[in-house]
Amino acid sequence: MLQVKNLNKSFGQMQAVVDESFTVNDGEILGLIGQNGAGKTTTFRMILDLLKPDSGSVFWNGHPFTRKDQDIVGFLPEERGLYLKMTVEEQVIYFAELRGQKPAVTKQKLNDWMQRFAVKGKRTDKIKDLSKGNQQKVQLIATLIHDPKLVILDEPFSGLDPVNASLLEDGIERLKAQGSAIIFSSHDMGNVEKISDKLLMLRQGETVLNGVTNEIRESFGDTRIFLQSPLTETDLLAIDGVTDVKKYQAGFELQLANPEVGKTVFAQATKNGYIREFSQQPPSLDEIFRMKAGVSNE
Amino acid sequence: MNKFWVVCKQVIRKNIKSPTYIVLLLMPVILLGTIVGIAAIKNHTSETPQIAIVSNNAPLRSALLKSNTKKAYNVSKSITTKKAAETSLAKEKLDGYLTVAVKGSQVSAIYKSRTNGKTVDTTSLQNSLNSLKMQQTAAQLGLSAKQLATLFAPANFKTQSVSYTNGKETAQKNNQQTINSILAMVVTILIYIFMVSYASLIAQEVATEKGSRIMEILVSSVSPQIQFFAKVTGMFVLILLQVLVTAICGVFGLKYLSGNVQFLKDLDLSHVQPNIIIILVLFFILGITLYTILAAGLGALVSRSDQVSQAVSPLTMVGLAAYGASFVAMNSNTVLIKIGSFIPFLSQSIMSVRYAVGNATIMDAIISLVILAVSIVLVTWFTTRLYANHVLDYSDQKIWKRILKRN
Repeated sequence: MLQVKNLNKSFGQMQAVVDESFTVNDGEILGLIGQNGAGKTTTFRMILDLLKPDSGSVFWNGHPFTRKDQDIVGFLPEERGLYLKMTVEEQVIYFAELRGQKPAVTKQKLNDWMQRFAVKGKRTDKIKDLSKGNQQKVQLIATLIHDPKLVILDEPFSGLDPVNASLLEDGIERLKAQGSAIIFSSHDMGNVEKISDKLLMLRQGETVLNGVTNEIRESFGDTRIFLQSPLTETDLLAIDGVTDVKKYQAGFELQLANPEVGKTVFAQATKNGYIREFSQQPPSLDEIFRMKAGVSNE
Repeated sequence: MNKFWVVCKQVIRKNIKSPTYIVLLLMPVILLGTIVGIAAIKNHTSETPQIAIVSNNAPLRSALLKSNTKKAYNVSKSITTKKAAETSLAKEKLDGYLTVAVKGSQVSAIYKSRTNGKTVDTTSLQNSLNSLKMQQTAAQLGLSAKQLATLFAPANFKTQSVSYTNGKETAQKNNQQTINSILAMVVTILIYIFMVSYASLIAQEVATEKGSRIMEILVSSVSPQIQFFAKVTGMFVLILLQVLVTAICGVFGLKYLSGNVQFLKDLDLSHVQPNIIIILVLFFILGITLYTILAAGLGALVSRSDQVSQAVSPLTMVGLAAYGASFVAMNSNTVLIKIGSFIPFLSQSIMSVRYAVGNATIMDAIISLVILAVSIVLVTWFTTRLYANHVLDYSDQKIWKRILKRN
């Protein structure tokens, strides 16, 4: 279990992280979101003891996290780096050995991992001869092959196509099932929403959201409706409490002033009987992100 | 400690496969090969001249034939008459022929040679003839071999050169000074070559990892301090390997070439004093250590590997200055040279020479070594901090500003 308590860090005038606290239990995934410069990488570096916080502390299973705990960590930095002249096998063995896993053990596990991530290439291929996507997979394998108990992935999905992104999602889920505590940062709310149990959103170093993903969404109330009915855009806008109507597939997406308005919309839409869709939901993480960040996350 | 060796092993393994290191390692082998090759070619082309010996005194002739132990010339034994010798000379089968005439106790000899033939070292012919005549005369006078030896024993003649330090005479054998200067020269050249090569090699090593962002993974797995020492240690193993290869080449080269090159023949290595060797080796080791450690720190300051030469150049410049100053120190002992021989980064070259040529006492050398050792400790402390603080710093700040920035 990882506990981060009241971390503060500033670089000169700039306050990079302000009073940050969160907990990640074993078998739990925390999604860290925020724009560039929100303090995500600084947070990771403080957890890993690469940066000393100005104040606050990091605990692993109740004791302060130190360099002695580094063997249980699997860390994928945002800027990827591999030894281009090494072979896949040499590279993975070296990184795993640095985390205390014997070369023989790594050798045994490697084929399995290469299959799981569908790496196109042989163990004896030089890293520089692999495609960028495959290099990224090798980097992931090097990060995870020693079965880390604490996994920190900085933007693991960036640059992955949907097929490989879902391979990675499977990989993360697998670690979760094995009981690892996982933190990852992402720009893509889709990934965060899908796999994270908890969510932490940073804006210029300040925590703006912190909690269980579903609860955060729920806390905003069911102010969205996806609707496919005979009602037109004009009809919908005429309903009191509907603040916005957008085209959505064959129907509309409505923004409500409050969840109660949903009942009125439902009554209006179903007054002639059957309709194809009525789905009242809390706002998506993407919308919350935009609301909280004040601008688009793209 | 475990991870220390993992990193150390990695440095060795990676570099041993790199072309840069292999070329560096094989340089002395290639150099020696070239020299031996040239010597061999030179030996091959200077064939021994073919001569004939003609005499009216058969025992003297056969004695002369036997005296050619050094094979300075080949003798066509079948040619015994002047006429046959003339014919062979005209046909260019001989390069020359020696006619020895014995008349009573008088021995006279004429060596006739072709101008386009190979030249014979006539002094060796003359010497052989002289000693033969002497033996003959001695036999006639009834002298024993022992008496003969006593008669011709040369007077004992030795030269001695001295230098004065603090008014006290320090005796040095003649040959020794030359050898010491040569030794100091060799060590200074080696220090310079090793320093430039390995300083840039380790700086490159560090900068590549930083530039390719591998550093972040490394420092999250192994503390920068351990990493730093492991890298420097790995580099030392590589340097040691190089020293070994160079030393083996040196020994083989000396053995092979001393038989062929006059300059080396004249050197009597038995004159080498052990204390000079020890001091030179210490300066070599400590000097290289100082440069390597600082170079590793400088490598951590750059953001990309192509900035390495820029970061290391001040260091190599100082090395070059020390190298240049050591040549000055061969022949002069000015105040500037004296001061320089105590300053770390310069002392390894200047003091080596000053001590070897007898311009500095052993006490001076030891003081300079101690200063060097202390500075290594300080530089290591400073560099480890520098390394730990800057391996993850990718700002575009000027390198020297970063060194000065405390944090």
